[in-house]
Amino acid sequence: MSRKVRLTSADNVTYEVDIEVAEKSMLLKNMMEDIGDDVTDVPVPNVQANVLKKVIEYCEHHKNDPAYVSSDEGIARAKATEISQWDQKFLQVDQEMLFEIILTANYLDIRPLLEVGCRTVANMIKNKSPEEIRKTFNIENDFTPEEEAQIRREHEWAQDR
Amino acid sequence: MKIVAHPLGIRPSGNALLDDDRRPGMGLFGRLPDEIVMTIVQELDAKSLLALGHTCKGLFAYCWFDELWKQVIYERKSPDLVWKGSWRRTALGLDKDQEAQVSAEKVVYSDLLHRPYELSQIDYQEYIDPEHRGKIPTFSESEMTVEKFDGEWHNKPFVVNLSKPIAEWTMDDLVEKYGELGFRQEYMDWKLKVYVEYARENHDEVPLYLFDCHSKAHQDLVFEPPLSHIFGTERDYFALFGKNRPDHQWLIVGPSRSGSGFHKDPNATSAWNSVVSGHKYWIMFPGDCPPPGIYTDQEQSEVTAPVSLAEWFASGFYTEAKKHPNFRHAVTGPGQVMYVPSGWWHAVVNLDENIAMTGNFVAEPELRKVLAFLKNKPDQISGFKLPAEQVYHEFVGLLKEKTPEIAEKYESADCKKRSWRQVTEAETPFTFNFE
Repeated sequence: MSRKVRLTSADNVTYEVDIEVAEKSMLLKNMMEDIGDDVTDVPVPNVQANVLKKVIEYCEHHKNDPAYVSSDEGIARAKATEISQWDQKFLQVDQEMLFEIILTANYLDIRPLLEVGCRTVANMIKNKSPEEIRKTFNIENDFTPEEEAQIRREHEWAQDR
Repeated sequence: MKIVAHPLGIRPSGNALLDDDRRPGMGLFGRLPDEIVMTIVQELDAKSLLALGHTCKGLFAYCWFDELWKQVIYERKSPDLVWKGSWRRTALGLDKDQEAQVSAEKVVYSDLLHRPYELSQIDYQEYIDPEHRGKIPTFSESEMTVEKFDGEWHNKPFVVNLSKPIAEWTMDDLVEKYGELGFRQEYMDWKLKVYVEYARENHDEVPLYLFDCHSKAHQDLVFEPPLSHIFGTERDYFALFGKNRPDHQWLIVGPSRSGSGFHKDPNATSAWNSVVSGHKYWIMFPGDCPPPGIYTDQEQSEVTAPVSLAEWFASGFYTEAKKHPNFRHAVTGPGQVMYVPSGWWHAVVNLDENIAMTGNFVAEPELRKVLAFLKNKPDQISGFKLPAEQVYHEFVGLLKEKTPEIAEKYESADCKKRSWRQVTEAETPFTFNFE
């Protein structure tokens, strides 16, 4: 049977998971290696229970994936790599939760989740007007009236609209 | 480095702590660290970048980052675009006065956005003191004899003032003649007239550099190396390879601030480099002494330079390098030729719009090093039109066939029989066995 560790969120909720699941996080993996074999309890401050639960769900599902290899190959990097169906469904959450997942993936250093999260946000931007994007991500239009006029003009001039 | 104001008023990350009247916006994006915002916007096409940038000041600033638009242009693969002074304006077909002027002052604090722009404004003259210790010596053409080179100078950098310049064209001459020709600028394929427009107005941290050895222009300009009594083809042992040798003579064109970061030339060759117009600043270190800020693995097969040349200067590595006893440097201009010995680390910065010619070659005094390299580091061999693992044996065969006396010399100079001095002169203990 696999070794278990207990992860405790900022708001003091504890989840027991297989060590392989916790090790999807490079931060936790390095931390547990530093502490040693007998570690059973790992605090995860900064992460609220509802988000931690989601992230654990992702790590459970992906625990047998091969080790992460960076897809970043500089300028020739392929855009819009496919997002698997499971991941798509997993990330069908409200925008608040999506951004919390991204922040947590970044903090816990779970690169594949961070990438798929960023890609999902990018896909939500595509084919939207500025006004639709503002609504989706709760962005306040803070352009001055002069800037607003220039933006409109730029939009009209731009050849790639 | 002088403080550079970003055209959009973006400030370095640290300033966020000092400004108590900042107005962060960007909705949910305002919660993300700047490198994550960047990861997201990197996924976007031109249309989405434009739309996202039009939502608010902060996202305008992120979506204005010119590297994003460079990627857009790169993917279009168009040789004949109209350069508008920045990648963004070029991608969107906007003249300068058609681009929106937006201020992100007090809104965006980001090193990721600020630093590359700041470095694009670097003035190398501020850093360089050409009279600093370590000056590479300059000779007249008549002073640098074959005997002097083969005896004493083949393994040290030097500059020669040529009695007549290798060529006398300006960038305008080149464009007039070859403007419609396609050239390769690193990963872009552009007509020369497009590249020159780019060269004269851009704010890239690392400006694109043109290296050409295949174009019609290069064929027209085919030249005999300067100082041919030393660098000439008849003294170049790689000429034995005929058509199988790697490309070895280049026309190089680059804007001010372009250049090459620290590297060693391929296949342990030596090089000459002669400026046609403009000025180059050179920094060199001997092969066994990697410059500050440059890291290699044991075999020196992987060279890691974590920062751009501009960052290398601006962040203090240059100051550190100058203090090193092995630091060598010089400025070269029209009518001068620089010699870069086999295996030496060198970096070059163009101080102004620059055209130069360069060639790689193997002179006899460096033959031992080259043979050792080809034999011991086949995985680092590059550019030959034959399989890397055949290069060494092919070369040995050619030496035996075409220059038996030289082959004899190196064959008998087997490692064990050589004096200690000879052994240490070679980079790697070298045995030359004809199999």
